[in-house]
Amino acid sequence: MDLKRAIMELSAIRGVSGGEGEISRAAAERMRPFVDSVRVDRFGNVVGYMRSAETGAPTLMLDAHIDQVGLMIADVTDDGFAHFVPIGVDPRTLLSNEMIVLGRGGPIKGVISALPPHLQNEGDDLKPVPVGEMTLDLGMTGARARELVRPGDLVAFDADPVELLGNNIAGPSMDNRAGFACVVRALELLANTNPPCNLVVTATTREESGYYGAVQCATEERPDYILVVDACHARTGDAERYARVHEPGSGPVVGRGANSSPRVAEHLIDAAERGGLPYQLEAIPKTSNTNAWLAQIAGVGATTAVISLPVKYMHTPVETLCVDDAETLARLLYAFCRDFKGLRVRGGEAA
Amino acid sequence: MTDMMELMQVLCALDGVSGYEDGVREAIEGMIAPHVEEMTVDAMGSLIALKKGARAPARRLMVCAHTDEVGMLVFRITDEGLLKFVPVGTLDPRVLLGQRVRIGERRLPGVVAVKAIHLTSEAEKKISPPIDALYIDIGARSKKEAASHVRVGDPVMFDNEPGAFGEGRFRGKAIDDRLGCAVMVSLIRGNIPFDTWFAFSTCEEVGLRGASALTERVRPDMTLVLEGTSAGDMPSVRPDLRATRQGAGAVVSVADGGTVYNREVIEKMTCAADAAGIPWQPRSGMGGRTDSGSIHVRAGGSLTFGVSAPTRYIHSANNVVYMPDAKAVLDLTALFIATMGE
Repeated sequence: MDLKRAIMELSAIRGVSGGEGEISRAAAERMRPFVDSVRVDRFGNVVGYMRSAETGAPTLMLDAHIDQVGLMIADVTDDGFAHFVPIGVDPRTLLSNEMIVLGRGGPIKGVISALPPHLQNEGDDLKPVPVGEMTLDLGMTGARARELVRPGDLVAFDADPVELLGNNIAGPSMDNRAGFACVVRALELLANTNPPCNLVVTATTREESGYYGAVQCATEERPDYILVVDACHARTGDAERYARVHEPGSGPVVGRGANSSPRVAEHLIDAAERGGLPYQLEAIPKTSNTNAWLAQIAGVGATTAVISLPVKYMHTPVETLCVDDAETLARLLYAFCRDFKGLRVRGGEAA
Repeated sequence: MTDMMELMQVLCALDGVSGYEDGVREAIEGMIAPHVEEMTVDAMGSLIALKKGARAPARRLMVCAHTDEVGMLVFRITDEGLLKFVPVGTLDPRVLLGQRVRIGERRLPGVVAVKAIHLTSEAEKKISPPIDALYIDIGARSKKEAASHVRVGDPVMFDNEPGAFGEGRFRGKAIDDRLGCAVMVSLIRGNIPFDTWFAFSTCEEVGLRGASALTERVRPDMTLVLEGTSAGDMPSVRPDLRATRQGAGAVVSVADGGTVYNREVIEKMTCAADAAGIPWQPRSGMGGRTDSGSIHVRAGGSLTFGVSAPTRYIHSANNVVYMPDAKAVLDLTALFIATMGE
């Protein structure tokens, strides 16, 4: 499969947290050719199984969330505008932007109102507008708007992904459609191998609103290990170098710390080094801000690790990612799953 | 109306940041060439065309709209290969962040960005990022790579596909003032009662400059200036900032930051509009200005009349206009020629 094209196609599918129907279906279709079986649960989570021929093989849950950030309609006004609440979006990128309301009768275009400079006072353009004061222009009468758009409807950025120089792509939802595409590419590479672990591949919903999909999957599947694939922050010139900022184009980022097992990380690092794949490390003192945080303690608990793709401008309509990093991540996931037999626990037994 | 919508679909997709209007002008030349008596491009790049009417008018008439649009210019390429930019025309940095843009003649794609909000301190969040904090990311990893695709001074345009919106509305960039251009093209393609000069001006957004030169060349006695003007009919806008509202018809300028309009002309034209059943509204507030600011102090004092369509979110990637208002602008412009030619 062409990974860049897969990422761009997946990124263009709308699926805000809590409304993942379309992306769930697409994810199931992408996964199906490469796994033994696929099911979609009541949460919209897509779960694929690739069983190992080895007896007593441990189970590894390979997880990527498929929901995206967006808005939720709170109220529709008499003059055809809507008030809304944010679901994870960077509110600085809302004014004047095109949005799409995922209404019951189909998608409805909207534009977020912005006061033109001619009607502002000096200095107003440096004042952040609170989301509560923003409105979505639906361009119709209040009566018509209320027929088509209701409180609780979800709203996504209406922007297509675009190719930039240097094998970069920009668009909404690189976080985490790119991560999911990498998982599918790894499955394709694994398809004719016999991995030493049972793989439970999850494309989970509602990550952006509280990791709920992954909690459900981990509770239900009780895997021994969970490897979470997500996005992390790529460094830009104006972001100070600190623990959670990584170089774009320098490979995927392996987490180490309380929420990302240093011992699983060692296996990921080995896989990278043996394959000559570039990688970076991230120190994770507490939460990884990924599904791993709650999945780690779901059910009877699991050993979690996190690997992520550096993405610039997270939670905006122009999340930017270097496809080189995605290619590397896919190959690293493949190399890791091909060889992962589980960890040796104290006493020398396989966990 | 279909005609107006089709014209705007074409015109709003063109790029014409002030100083870089050639493409817009050339497209318009192609549209009007078979329908005009004579056509000139002046030193400022403005297109001036004479459309013959059924008769010679009692006074020399001109209709003017500007071809340029707000945008940006590449100002510096950073060592990391990012583009710093300066605004062309008045731009609120809050409508730039997260926009897709196109750069230069080859329309290289880029995105307007700043570091992720998660990496922004609470203190930093108190102020919205100013223009000089923003940059355009084209995916280049070095100054050298960026410089092989982009040069300082390249124009930057919003990357936006115009189209129908909501009920009877149209959305896109540069409706200010391609709407005015569409009205003029529409009239030029039809029949008008009196000979009229149509001026497609340049560099309005950077100081009403194209209109200055062309007015001295045409020396009209009376000019109608067409615009897409600020609508302030969104919720939570202070009453004194509401300026104009959609659905209330063509906007008639009374006074703005560049002109105090002639009361007799306003009186004559609004009475004629009422008689003809063309809906109109006065523009309240003094903010903003139009080419009239240049025109009314030239050619011995060309009397000006300002007509606009109330347009939401001008000077952003997504302007929104209500097509029945645009129709009223078209009708009022035709009525101006018919009334003032007598």
